[in-house]
Amino acid sequence: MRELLNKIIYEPWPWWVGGPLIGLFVIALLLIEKKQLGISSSYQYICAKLSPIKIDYFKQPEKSAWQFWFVVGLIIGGVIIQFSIPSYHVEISRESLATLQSIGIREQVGFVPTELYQFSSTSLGILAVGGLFIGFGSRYANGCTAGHAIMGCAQASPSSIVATICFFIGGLLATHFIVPFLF
Amino acid sequence: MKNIRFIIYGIIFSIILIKVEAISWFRIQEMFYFQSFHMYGVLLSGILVAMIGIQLLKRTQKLELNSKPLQLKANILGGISFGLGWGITGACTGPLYSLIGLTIWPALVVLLGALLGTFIYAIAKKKLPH
Repeated sequence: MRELLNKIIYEPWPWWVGGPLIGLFVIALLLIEKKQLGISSSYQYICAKLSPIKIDYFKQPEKSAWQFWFVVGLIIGGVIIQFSIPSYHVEISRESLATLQSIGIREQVGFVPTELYQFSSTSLGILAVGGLFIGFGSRYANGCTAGHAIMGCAQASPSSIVATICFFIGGLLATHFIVPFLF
Repeated sequence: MKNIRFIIYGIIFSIILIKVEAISWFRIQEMFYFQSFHMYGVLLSGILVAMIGIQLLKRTQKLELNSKPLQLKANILGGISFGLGWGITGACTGPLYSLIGLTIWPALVVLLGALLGTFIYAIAKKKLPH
């Protein structure tokens, strides 16, 4: 029992644990709160609250107020995990390791590469532009990986299936034609 | 009180995303290089379980779901734009907040970029094809 608990706390979960848990989470949110999973609306809420000018798109932010509190929870979840895993190493496949090494990413500790997530002007510039695409794209497409790829695809909604395919097209383009030239 | 409940949901979802490593740039790269089944397993099994649950709820609870309207141009152009950002930063919207919680501070810049991107969309919305 103790061993299992240690495993759960200190080791990563395989996909067949985490994936179904995401599915169960979606159902619980629907059943208990009558809410459909979606995260990128939190951007709309935050922008609506901060916007110095009145824009139609930012009317009625209260609809997505719950998503704002939800993402506050996402941050706190990160803080909690931070205490249970002081150092972390993501064990990706050896093939990927070789691929990433060939584009200038060393094997390292942490969830993200220090070559990208560091306080240098180049890295921060790349991250800001990446973020810009995330914010603009998720709002333009009317959803992100949560609302479209998970929730929408589970509903077999045509718009979500189209959006999810395009998320992957964009991701493939970035991974194969942009990322290799950044480092 | 309701807000606290949503914070707790967020904490749980964040822990799942982190423990299954969906928040890792390395995992996202691996996925887009088709070098591991891990992320595909996460997404596909998550969708499958949610799909079964939704069908059960529909039959037993008279559940009514909103379906996002099909806007082909917006779904395609917005989708590709989001994907580009996802591939570069290795973070989509949810994981981005988790990374900030994990004190990976450069992720704050990604969030600032995303808010700016949202702002640009809000201003340009009427001129964009939907």
